[in-house]
Amino acid sequence: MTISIGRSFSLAGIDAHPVTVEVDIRRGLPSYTTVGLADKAVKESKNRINAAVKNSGYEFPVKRITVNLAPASVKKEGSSFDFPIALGILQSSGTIKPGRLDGIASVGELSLDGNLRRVRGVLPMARCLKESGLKKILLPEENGKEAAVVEGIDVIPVDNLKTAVDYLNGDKSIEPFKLDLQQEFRHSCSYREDFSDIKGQYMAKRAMEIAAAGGHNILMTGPPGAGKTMLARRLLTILPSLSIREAIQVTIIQSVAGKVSPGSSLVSRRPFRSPHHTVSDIALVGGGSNPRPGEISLAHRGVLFLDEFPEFKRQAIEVIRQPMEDGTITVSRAADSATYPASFMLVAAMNPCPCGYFAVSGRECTCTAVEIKKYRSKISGPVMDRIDMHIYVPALGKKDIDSLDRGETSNIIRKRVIEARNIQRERYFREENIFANAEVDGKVIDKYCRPSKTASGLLIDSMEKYGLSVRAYNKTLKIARTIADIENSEEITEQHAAEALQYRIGDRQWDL
Amino acid sequence: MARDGEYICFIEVKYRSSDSHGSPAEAVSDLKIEKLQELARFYISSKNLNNTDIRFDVVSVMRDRISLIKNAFGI
Repeated sequence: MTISIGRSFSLAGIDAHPVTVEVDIRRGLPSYTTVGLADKAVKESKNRINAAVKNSGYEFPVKRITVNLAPASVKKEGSSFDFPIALGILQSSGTIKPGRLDGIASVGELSLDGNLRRVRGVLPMARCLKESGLKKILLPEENGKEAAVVEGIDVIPVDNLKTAVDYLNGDKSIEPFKLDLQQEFRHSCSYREDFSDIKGQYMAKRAMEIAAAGGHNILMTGPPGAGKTMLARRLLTILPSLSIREAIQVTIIQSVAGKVSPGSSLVSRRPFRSPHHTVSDIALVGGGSNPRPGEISLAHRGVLFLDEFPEFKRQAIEVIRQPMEDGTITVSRAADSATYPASFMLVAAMNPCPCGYFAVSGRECTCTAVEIKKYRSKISGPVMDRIDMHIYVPALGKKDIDSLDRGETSNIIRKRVIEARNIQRERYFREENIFANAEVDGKVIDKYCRPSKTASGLLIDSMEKYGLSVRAYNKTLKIARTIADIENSEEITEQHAAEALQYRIGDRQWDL
Repeated sequence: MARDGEYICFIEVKYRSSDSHGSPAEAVSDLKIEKLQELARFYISSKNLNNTDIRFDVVSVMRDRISLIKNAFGI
């Protein structure tokens, strides 16, 4: 009888691709067929659409219905095709006037009563819409703000199928959703936590500041209850806020993972992810038969905190080695592959031994040498080598806590961090993909990180004495660069190098 | 068989004298549905009705209560 053609999108990795939704209705034995590499959730849409159409007060045609999702060679998954298919059926059966679906995209899941439910990945879909030259998208109200982040398109939020049909037939007008991106972005960053919540621990706080200023990875070792987790959670409060470009990247990842909260638009806070140590390697790096971003991608431009580091499965820790260096992860499966950005700051915390009280004054460690060795060997040398800073967080007694002062607030520290970051941005403006000292690679390190003569002598001597690898040497140099930046010093002096070394070999006191 | 507007309807009529074994409509099993569809396909091809609307209805009769279910198991 008639054919209708609508537009929608499918997700692959963090990108969306245009999909054409064709619905053909003709006479004959009543049947309903979906073709075009659709998965279970798409095939099940038949029952949802049937009920939603009837409960919205329309007739569901008793005909031969064929739904085609093109291009037929790309896998389609999820419930976001419910809405475009329903619109297609309603147009083919004459409820929606001919031609009204032209150039209009739609996404959304239908509930049985005809209401629209939110779907994941709306932000990349909106970007794809703009790229493919279309102007208008119909989507669930809860997804409206998220899609409106993309400028230059009309986002029409609809609450149910009936509203959508009335809108398309011209019986009802809906204002496109408009978002003031700057406004949305401004009212954002306030944290409940603050660095001044932590008394004492000046060394650790200083190390945190350096890590934040240069984007360095950091490993904290210390007895239970010393404040490692408190420190890690407060790292976000001294990091510079996201730029709009970074915020869009972060939001896209969260959108694809379905983690953008309903009715919110841009994610304006840096993410903080702290997966439990039972996490599987797939959950950490992403993947699955329909690939989804993992924890390291959800921590993109933010902090990945791994508490009880040696308790993680060895496999899980080893798989983050490559993304730690590259800032992206490519998940390959037999059928599919997806690349996700994964540029994160790793913050790890561990105890010095299984019982936790190794070399803590006033407490006796009950671990044997073998146990301690086994515990520490769970983290391989290559992983340890990739972590820039190693610090010790000592336990403080009640007396210390009462006598120590709170130190600086996060705001004061953040100002210094931002200044140091600005220096770095200016220095690396000619380098692609380098924004912070931690990202400087071997090729350009000699160009940007030149130690003074005495500093260089100190570093080379220590390298020999402590058997540091070339990578460890480079990392130390980069930390020294960051320390110099915080102090607004062009040159890396001996003093800077000495402090940097301390973060690199400070954990040697733990050797058995 | 009957005609209802543009539709040709295949109607299955079921009778029960009591509901001790379920309602009459429930007695239209998957096997029965398959048989009816096969029958319809045969009828369509033999009468050359390829461009016609088809529907399956069920009439359930419980003693003297009669009810018609339109499009009982279409899609």
